[in-house]
Amino acid sequence: MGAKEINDRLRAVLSEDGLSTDPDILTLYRVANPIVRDRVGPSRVARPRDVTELQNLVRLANEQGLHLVPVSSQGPHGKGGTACAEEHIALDLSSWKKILRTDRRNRVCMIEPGVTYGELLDALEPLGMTVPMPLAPRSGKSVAAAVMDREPSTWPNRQWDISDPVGSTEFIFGTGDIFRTGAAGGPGSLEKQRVAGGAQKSPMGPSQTDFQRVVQGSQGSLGIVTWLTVRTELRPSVEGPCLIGSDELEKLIPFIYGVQRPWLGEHSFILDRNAATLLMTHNAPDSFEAVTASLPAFICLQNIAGFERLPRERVAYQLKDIEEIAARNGLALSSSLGSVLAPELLKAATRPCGPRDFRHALRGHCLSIFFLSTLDQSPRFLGAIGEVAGRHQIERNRIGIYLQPVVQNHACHIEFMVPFDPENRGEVELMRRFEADAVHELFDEGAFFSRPYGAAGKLAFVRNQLNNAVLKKIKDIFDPNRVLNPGKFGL
Amino acid sequence: MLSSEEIRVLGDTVGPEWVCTDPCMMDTYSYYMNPEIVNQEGSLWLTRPEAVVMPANTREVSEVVRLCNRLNLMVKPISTGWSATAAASRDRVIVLDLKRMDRIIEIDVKNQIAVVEPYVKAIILQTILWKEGLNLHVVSCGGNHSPLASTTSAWGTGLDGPSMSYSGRNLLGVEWVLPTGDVLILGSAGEGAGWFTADGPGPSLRGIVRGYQGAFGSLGVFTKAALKLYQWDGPPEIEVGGCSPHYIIKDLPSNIGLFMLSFPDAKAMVEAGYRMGEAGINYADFRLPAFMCAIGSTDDNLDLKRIWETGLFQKIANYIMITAVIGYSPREFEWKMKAFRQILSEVGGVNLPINLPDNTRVPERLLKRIRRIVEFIDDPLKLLRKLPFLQDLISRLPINKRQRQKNLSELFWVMLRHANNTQGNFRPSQAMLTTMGTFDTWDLGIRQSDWIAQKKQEYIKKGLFLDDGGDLGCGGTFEQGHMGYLEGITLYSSKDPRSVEAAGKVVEEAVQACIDEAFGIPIAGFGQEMNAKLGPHCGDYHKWMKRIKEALDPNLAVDPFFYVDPGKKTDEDDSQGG
Ligand SMILES: Cc1cc2nc3c(=O)[nH]c(=O)nc-3n(C[C@H](O)[C@H](O)[C@H](O)COP(=O)(O)OP(=O)(O)OC[C@H]3O[C@@H](n4cnc5c(N)ncnc54)[C@H](O)[C@@H]3O)c2cc1C
Repeated sequence: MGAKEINDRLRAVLSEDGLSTDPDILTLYRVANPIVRDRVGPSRVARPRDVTELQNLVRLANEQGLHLVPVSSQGPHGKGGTACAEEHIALDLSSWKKILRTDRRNRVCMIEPGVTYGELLDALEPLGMTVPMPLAPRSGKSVAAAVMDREPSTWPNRQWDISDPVGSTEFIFGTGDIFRTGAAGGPGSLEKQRVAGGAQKSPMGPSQTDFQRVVQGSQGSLGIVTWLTVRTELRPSVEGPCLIGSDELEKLIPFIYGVQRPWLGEHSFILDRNAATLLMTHNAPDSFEAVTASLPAFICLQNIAGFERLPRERVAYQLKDIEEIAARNGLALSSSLGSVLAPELLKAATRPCGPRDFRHALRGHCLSIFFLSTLDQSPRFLGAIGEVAGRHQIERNRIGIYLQPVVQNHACHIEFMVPFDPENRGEVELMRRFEADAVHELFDEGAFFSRPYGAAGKLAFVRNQLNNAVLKKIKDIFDPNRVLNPGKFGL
Repeated sequence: MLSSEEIRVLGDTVGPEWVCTDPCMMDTYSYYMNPEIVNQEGSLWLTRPEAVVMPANTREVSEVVRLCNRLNLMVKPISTGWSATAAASRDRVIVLDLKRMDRIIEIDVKNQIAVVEPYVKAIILQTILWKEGLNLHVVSCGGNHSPLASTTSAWGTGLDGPSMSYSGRNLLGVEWVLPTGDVLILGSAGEGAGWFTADGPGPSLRGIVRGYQGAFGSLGVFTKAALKLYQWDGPPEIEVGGCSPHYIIKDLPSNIGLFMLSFPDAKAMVEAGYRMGEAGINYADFRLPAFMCAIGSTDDNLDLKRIWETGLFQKIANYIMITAVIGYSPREFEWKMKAFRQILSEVGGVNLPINLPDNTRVPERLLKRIRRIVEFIDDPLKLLRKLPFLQDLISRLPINKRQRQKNLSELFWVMLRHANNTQGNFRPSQAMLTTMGTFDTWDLGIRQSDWIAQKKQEYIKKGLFLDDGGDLGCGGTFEQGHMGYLEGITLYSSKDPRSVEAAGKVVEEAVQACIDEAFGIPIAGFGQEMNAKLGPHCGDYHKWMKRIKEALDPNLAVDPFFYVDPGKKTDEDDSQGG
């Protein structure tokens, strides 16, 4: 079938303005990352208005052998999740912006895929709620895209399972079938479930299945989420964030273990001075040097909060308990370190950072390499990355480090950030080589690329071949015609 | 029957002494709870396996599964065998008893992870973990179950849900012998990176391993599981005196509080659950129905009958939650207790003084008098409710020290050591069944338990179920009140065919109510038949399961009964639409 005919067929299932082929618009959907190569930009952008249109679109794609790559965030799309090796249609759900429900009693909300963190925070705030979120997401970042990708949040002790805060979901498989997971899985309509007292909060099921988990982490290659419920938390009414600084990471680590184990405090993470400065100066990159120079090598932010019940007393006792843990580790809590104030760092970390990723402000772009391990293993990876950086003549002190305990500190997101100039071809080439080398080295050291992007995309699927073989069988079931992001993870 | 050649090759794999076909032994693998409801003719027995094979390690499990593929046999794994779902469902099934695989492979104290084999029992692991300041989630069938089986393959509700979640959510890694015999390790351990996550890279096959319920052995054999552990702020061990059935603990550390809370009505109990959860107060909680309180405070049926007939339990114990509060530090305990008292007073709950006399020892004459007095008092706890300080005051009185210690001990065993008197539930009528039990909110839990309590009355009136007052809604809150759950228990007689028939009927009615009232998938909502019934109302999930089973088990080498049987016509043709 010719391009025109395909467009006609697409227009027939989409409403007016539902299809775009304008090259200027298509460019917006290309992966905005000079390191990512060999990717085909979308040939069209489809914007279905509702679930029926979406389902018809997926069915049409099955009939006509078209490929769809779901997109929920607004651009720029930098990580490469939407990168696709084959000709495809960008399936843009970023205008699906309804916050369908907020439920203070059950601490949950229900949102469409285009809702961003800023929009959700605004809706939750008057109800005294908030949501755990990634470190300072860019303002166009879709909540659904982040949580369906298992992005770490800065609030580790509220994450019981790596799939949190996802509750129930509705998605369309590659086959075009619609499916609901978790408590929403049925029986009965959502409304009727609520009349019975349910809130579509449990992520498990229906019955002996957890397909939400299978779709999660698939970077849009197994299902297209149409809505999901997200677990919310009470919004702190009193906060007493503290900073703990050290030139040795090894000193901070036992402190984090000490605080996380009994779930003391709230938001908690470690940034090295570069990453902290990237975050704090993204609106004023000129002050980067001055701020970095004022900081110790590593900073831990530890928030302490009270909620609706006895908030001040809560902050008071937790502060004392955390102070004791700090003292046991030869550390002290401070309200500021160098030119960084604890409340400001907390604010920067727990709110959207603006249209552009804060990591990009300094040099125009930033290479991020991230993976999971456990916190105690992190120094080993720091050593490894330093070595690889040396091999590529990249100064160690150019690299930012972000350590984020996840799942109540049962694992740790480890991220290295290397800001670079995207216009400088030599530097881009260097970053490409460095990334490939670093990912290999880290992988050999035991890094687990749970959310594989960039060079890790291929490597992560090399060692456990049986896992891939089973994943392929699952792809055969949920997306037999390879409609959704074909080739992703070799599926 | 297996041929001698089949027995020989199985013996070659695991050693001949680990293959058994003795009929009397086979019968011990076919006697479980509730079969009389499922079996058409009301038999107490499930299918006898062809053989029981006991592998020593993953390699042997894998070899046996490969043999089953070749010999047209099916395996059915069993870990500690609490559940009827561990039974064979048909001929040509061999039970794979994993008792020899009882090693704790690793305890990563720092990262709070234990890697265990199938026959590691919760109570044993907990004993070791407490010494390290760690704890694990244990389900409320009791501490001698297999955490691996619960976490990978079954349900997972337990009293420690507020602080340690639900089994299915505590899986950090798994070694899985697929129905083909191939050995797959999921997540980080599969990459040799350590046992810290079972999800990824990319899409998570953990979502195939299990959902709200597990696959009950129908998707292969799990030979190792990494369990998420939690902080334990209690003592490393506990000094115990007394003898069965009443082991008495010495005094509790001052950072642990164990309470029996009585609420004036369901609304107050629900509200307390939400508020305690939000404030993160409860370490463990459990809604203990009045009749179960009565069971728990007696050692035999006669005593039970005597005290139940006083009517006292029906007046004060209709809405009881037992609760454990533990503080990391004295400061934390103090804060939690302040919030706890605040909530109790907001909702009108009473912290029952546990040093009150034990009424089972009260002479018959006095019991009669109590009965007469109770008849005229609507709310025997009114004074305590109005004057909360009295609750503490009475608790502190230096009276009935032995009684206090006994009651405290019972709460300790049940909530923290999971030494549940599960047997006690069978005492009054010889059989029990459970229904409802969808997992979502605490509100939904209560609605379900109300529904079943009412439904049971019809049968109680006809004398088909034991008169337990109707409401045996058991369950609690999870993850600091984020979720909740209640199941509704029924006490029937396995010896009376009319009672058995009624039991079967009430299970079906409950499932139908889950469909009609949109209560969700109940505890019984798994397996071939139930999935065919519920699937069409739930996005036809059973059809997807069928495809998964076909893809993973092409030779049908693993008993499919408690999942979906791809061999039978049930799905595509019978479906009424999603
Ligand atoms: C009186 C009573 C009360 C109960 N109360 C609760 C409760 O409160 N909460 C709760 O969650 N459950 C409860 N149960 C159910 C059950 O006891 C638990 O879910 C328990 O975790 C499963 O029993 P088990 O550990 O002995 O496993 P088993 O009975 O050995 O196995 C359970 C299922 O998993 C499969 N299986 C076992 N091992 C493996 C393996 N290694 N690989 C693959 N599949 C395997 C079996 O085939 C079986 O289908 C109760 C049961 C009874 C009889």
